[in-house]
Amino acid sequence: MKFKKIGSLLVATFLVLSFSACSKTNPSPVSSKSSAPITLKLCFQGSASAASQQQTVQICNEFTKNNPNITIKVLYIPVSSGWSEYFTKIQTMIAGGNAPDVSQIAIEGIQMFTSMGLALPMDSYMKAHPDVVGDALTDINPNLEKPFIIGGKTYGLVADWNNVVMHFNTKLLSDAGLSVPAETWTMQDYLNYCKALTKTVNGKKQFGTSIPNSYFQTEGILYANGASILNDDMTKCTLNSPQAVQIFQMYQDLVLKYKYAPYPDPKVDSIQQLAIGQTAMGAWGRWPVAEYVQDNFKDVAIQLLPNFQSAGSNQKVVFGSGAICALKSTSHPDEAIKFAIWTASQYFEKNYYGTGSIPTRKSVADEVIPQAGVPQNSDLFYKTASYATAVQAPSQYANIQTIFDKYMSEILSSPVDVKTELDKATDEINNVLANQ
Amino acid sequence: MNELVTKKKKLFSGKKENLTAYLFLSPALVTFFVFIGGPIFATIFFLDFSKYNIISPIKIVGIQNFARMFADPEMAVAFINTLKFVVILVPLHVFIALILALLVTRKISTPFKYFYRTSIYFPTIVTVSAVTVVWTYLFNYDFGVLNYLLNVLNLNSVPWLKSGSWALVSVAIFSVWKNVGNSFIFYVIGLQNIPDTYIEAAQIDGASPLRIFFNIKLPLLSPTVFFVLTINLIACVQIFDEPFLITNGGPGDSTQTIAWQIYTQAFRNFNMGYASAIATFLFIIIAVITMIQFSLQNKWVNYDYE
Repeated sequence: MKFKKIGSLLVATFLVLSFSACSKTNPSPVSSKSSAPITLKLCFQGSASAASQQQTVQICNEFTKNNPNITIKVLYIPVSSGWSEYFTKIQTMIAGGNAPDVSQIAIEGIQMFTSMGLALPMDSYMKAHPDVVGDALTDINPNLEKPFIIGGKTYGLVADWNNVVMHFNTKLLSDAGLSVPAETWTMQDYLNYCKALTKTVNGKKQFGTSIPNSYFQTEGILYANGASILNDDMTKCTLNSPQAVQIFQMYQDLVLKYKYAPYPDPKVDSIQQLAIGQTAMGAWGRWPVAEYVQDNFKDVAIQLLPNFQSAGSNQKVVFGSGAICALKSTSHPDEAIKFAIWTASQYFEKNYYGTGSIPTRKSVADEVIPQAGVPQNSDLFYKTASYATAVQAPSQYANIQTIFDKYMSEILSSPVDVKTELDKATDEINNVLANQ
Repeated sequence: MNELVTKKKKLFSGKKENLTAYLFLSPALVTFFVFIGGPIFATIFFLDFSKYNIISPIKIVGIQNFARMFADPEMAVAFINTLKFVVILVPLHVFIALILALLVTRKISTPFKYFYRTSIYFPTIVTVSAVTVVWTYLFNYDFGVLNYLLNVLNLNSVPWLKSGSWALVSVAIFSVWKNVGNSFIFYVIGLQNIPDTYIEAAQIDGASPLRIFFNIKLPLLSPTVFFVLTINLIACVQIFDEPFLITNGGPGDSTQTIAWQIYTQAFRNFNMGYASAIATFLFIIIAVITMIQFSLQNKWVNYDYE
């Protein structure tokens, strides 16, 4: 009876302790001169197959070969609604004491990470270790690096980027008697293509174009018409400018009036729609190439977006870049920065960005982009690196994107007055910009 | 003396049993307080009066969050949308589940009975995030199966997820398909608990099936109906999964609910304090509705036969 009581007490105590929250405290930063084994936790955005994850681990093992005391633990964070959700998860991990040491951060998040003091500047380390930096700063186009230099400090060496170009299903073009348009094609050319490519084939509807419903791609279209979501210093919203209204009105007409484009359902893979012939054109960066290669879809070409402005005017092209950044929460800042710099190396870019985003190193881009085999005119991807304009993503990006998505879906789903909706969106976004 | 010792022994062994019981309950109690009770307490009595983004230190702002909530036009839209979902979904869940339960508990062969029960309950156990992918394709305006079938019947395509009002209907259709199984099972159990003698006696007296239902089955089923009504009201006021996964609150803000706003404020905008204030207000709404229900149950719920 006595043993039974003691046994009960022990079992219960064990169960209580096993359910208790055991918080992991961050150990204090270790000197960079220590050669004790270190594990750096690296986070990437998106789902990756087991094979892809294993490939990433093998790529990172190359770093470990030259730095035997540093092991990289790779963690993929799948998200369903883009970068905002990813950054939310990273911040939650940081707040929960489970912070990664290094994290993939896109241009959409770098302002937020730096304003919240989460990212580690790399300048001191880079100055002290030019051998680690190598030729990164000369091989990477400085225009692409600009978004990651904030307040004079460098928070990441950009390793990948994307612009927005028009992708064409060349088989559907040829069936319609069309070819890939010239670089100087205009809004009227675009509308003519939409009309010619919209038809019903064997009872199945084929649409001329898909409408982008993401912030990044839409900014690309707005830039092509001399408009933008925010003003140049990102302090005011300009969604209700006449040029922006013109673009959104065009999109509303394409979906509702002319029916040249399907309603852009965010749950539907619009890249797949191009590949299977449901749409003939669509605006994306280089990231669809991974899907094209996987599906063996070769009937695809790209061209710059139409110049929606008057003939002869300079067309702005959008870009977004990304880097692996060291986070302030890391216990191994030097090692984290060293690894972050390494991810902008030739080896990493060549192996990690074979298909998908555009490598930022010209030498790697020149080698890797043609190797993918698709799309035609793939040289256009890197061509815009020097003059492309960064997508506007202030620290309040998550809030602004939510508002943008709301009004975008409202405009494209019903024949509402576009100007009125964009005025409302502008007011709400200005409120966010003013109050945070 | 012996009596005193016996009494003490009984008292002591009673306390021993209680102690053992509490020790074995303690893991569950600790889990509850750490993961449920504690956060609820912190939300209601602390977080909703603060400004907190999980990274920077907490700042107490008094009732600012509540004032903001009542002045926020987006919250007004969320309340109206939630009310629409409640008005549409609660009757559907309550009545469709009842009708299905009545059909299944008729005198039909056992294999069919099991087949229908399984088919109706099966959607309840399937992961909602998986089936919403399928339903999103079914509802697709241009390429979805539902509109294809409508076109085959020479009917116009329906803008299931394209139009604000149809999006509400689409979410409601999915919600009924997904969740009616829960209420259905409760009704089946309730109907099975009704003694056959009452039904047989009524049949002998010549009562029609409709009469039997309204005068015997329904009154005896009233506790189950009350339970189903209560849990469905609570669930529908908190509806989140379906509008989030199918429409993400759109198109526009037509399917944004109170729970959607809580999620957006907390996990997209990092306004933990504001989200906590909304959550506290939602809790108060649900508590008031439930208290009203319980106070009215005496008028129509019949526990007499138990």
